[in-house]
Amino acid sequence: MNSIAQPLKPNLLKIYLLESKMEVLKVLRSPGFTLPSLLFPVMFYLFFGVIFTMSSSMPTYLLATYGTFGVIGPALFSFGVGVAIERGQGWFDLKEVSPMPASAYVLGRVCTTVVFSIAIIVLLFTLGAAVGDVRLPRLDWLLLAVVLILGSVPFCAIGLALGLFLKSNSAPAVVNLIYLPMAFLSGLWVPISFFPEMMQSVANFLPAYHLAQLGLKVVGMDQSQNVWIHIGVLTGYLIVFTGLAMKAYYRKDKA
Amino acid sequence: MSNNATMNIKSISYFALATLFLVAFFFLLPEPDVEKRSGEKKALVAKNKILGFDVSQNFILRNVNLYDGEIFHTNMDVQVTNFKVAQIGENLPNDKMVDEVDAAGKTLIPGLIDAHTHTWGDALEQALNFGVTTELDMFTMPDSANKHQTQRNQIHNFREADLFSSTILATAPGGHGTEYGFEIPVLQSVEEVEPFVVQRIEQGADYIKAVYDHPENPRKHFPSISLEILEALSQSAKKHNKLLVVHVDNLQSAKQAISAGADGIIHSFMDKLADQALVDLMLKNNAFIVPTLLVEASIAGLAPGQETLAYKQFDAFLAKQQRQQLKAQFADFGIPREAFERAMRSVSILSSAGVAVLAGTDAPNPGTTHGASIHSELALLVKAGLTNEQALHSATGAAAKFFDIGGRGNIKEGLLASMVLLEANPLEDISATSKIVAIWKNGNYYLRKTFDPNAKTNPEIGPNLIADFNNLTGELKNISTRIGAGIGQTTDSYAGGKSEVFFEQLDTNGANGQALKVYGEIKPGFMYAWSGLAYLPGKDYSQGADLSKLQSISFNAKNISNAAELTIMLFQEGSFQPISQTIQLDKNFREFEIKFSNFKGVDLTIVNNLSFVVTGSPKKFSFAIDELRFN
Repeated sequence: MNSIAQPLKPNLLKIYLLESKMEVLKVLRSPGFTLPSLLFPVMFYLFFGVIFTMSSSMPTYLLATYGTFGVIGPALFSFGVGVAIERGQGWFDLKEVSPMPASAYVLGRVCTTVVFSIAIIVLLFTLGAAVGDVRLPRLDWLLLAVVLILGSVPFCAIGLALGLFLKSNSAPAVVNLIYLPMAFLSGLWVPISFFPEMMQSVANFLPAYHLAQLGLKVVGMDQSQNVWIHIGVLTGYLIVFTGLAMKAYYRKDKA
Repeated sequence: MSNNATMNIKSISYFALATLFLVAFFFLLPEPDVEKRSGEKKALVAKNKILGFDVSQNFILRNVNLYDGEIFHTNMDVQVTNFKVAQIGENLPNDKMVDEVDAAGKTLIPGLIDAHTHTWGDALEQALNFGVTTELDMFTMPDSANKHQTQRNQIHNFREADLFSSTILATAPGGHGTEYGFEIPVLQSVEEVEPFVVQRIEQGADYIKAVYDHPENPRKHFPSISLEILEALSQSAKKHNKLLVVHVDNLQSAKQAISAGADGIIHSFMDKLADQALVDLMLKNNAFIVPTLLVEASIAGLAPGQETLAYKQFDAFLAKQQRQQLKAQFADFGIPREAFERAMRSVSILSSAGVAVLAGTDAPNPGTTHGASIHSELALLVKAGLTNEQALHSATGAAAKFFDIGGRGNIKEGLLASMVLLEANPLEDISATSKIVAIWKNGNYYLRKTFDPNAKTNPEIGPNLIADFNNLTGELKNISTRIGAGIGQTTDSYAGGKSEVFFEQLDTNGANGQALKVYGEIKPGFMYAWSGLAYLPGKDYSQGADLSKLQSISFNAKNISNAAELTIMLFQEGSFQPISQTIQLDKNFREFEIKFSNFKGVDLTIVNNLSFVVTGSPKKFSFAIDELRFN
């Protein structure tokens, strides 16, 4: 029994797994986060995509866009609001002084986002297939899911930067102020081609638009822009906001 | 330790279960059912008609006869993917299991190109409604054109035809093009040419259009730029890599224009038949002609619009304004029927000699309208002597050869899928172009707009007092009336002029109480200076009223100073050209009654403005009006 040596050799993998698991459990046990994250995209999709649909291909189109809407929500909120609140409560500082690496903290939240993304995708796909009569080749179903899950990563970075910059009491409002207009302007609720020209050009600057276009590309309904433009813009957002998040993090250290 | 291990096992099994669930889930998601689909396959067209629109644009048109803008192919499959023609061939595979449309017996042609229009307002939507997917405008103001010129580069420009435009044309002071009430720059010397061309290009001109009439023409309607200016225009256009097209109306001018370097001439000519010299010249310079036979028939008083109106298949799709344009006629120019026959024969001579002919309507000149008229123009071209194929080519592939308009006018792999599906084969009978089954613009099925020809959109108005001008209050700029949107001030300042107008209440000391005094000043600045009052009988400026049940409009009026002649202008919705009548005012109040039947060729159901104005030379004027009423 060498009980002293053990803590000196922390099992990193185990820390990552544990932190991820706890993070997921924590979120699963807070219905204030779980229910809106899951219900909003599903309800919207049910109303606009399935019930009030105007054409046979609308459910397929909106499956991709509400899928996008669904996966960026948890990314922005888990990070943006979650981190800001934990900072406000001092929980963030406590975790910082623990021997756990900061990356575990981030990874734990990424895991949460992925779990939620999967849950939302499963719900939306079920609805789309069962009620909306969406039919896709198996590979396209899978590819759409993968695109959406991977595509949520830049939004994690945006959320993290927001979470580190914002005060805990203003974070929910600010994140909502970004999330909802961005979703609308990116054509996640209403197909982008229904918008006036100017609004369509504005959408080109929004990451959600590009993720939605990637999703739409899978089902062959995108705006025919080059796939690398979308990937490029999303990667750009990932890099810039990761940088911003790091800057915010180190600034806090000095303060 | 053991506790930890069970926890791990528990976690792992949860994880495995979740994974298993996901795998099962994705295997349960439904795939497109090939058998079922082919069983229930209905024409995409029918589906779209019911549903209004369809976001999915991917489909295969099977077994269609295809005229691709150059060549006719029978029994082809055309696959459209992401707004573009992806593949053309026989028995194309359907890997992606997209919608299929069996188009056996039908003919697919490129979206039509109208090579001569004047485009503003709803023109581009009207054009698309009849299968015209590209308009080459030959004079409109940059303000009306620029927005659409930008839009044509957007892949989702689904709801209107693409616009290319010369914007403002090059003409002499007082020359043809200046008579429409727009203040436009004109050319007086060779030195002005280069800056003029540069300015046109900066304002978005896709090519340069000039109006030319040779100095010895005995029938001069308008002043014209000189041959030197035309030559300078040609050089300048070449320098900037732009086409120069020249409006001519006689043989000599046509020759001089081509010699000067014009890339093409607009309008056939009615004075003489095309001769060998012109043929040689045009062949040598590879110049084209846009004969615009419809508008020439219209000038010769043949009312070609009536024939277009008679197309049964157009009934549901013509907007009210279009019917109006088709019914409209030019003033009688005294041009005999033989002159038009000459124009037709010249087209035949040029075409059979191998000179390129492009179809253009000159819409919306009287007797023509956007979209619908291209089908009549094609019929006239065939009547003139073109083969069906030449005629079809003139509105598709031929235009694309001369004008820099991308792949428009062709159906080729990789090009945007702007195309029209026809019930029959226009190579057998050119009138088949008008029997439209479906229109696609940039790969998007276009649901044609329908209009009820008998629809009464405007409120009917009965006899009543409009305004007695008694007890007016407030600032006298807008006076409310018992019928309609009221009376306001109107001057040429809307068109860039400088005239002024003011209202004032005037005591008549008579039984009729007060009257309205209208005074102001006609100032130079616009060629048709006017100043006066405008009465809007409808809901607002854009929406007119139905005056068809009325006999006349009556009022009391008197000239106070310099207003012996009062002009009453009647405007209809969608038109900027008023129908006018002039009355003589006395120094004392007198009653006038203007019969609506005296306004010739007016659709009284869409009157949106009745203006009472003083026009003419610069002066200060003043008149009074009272007891305005409909009878």
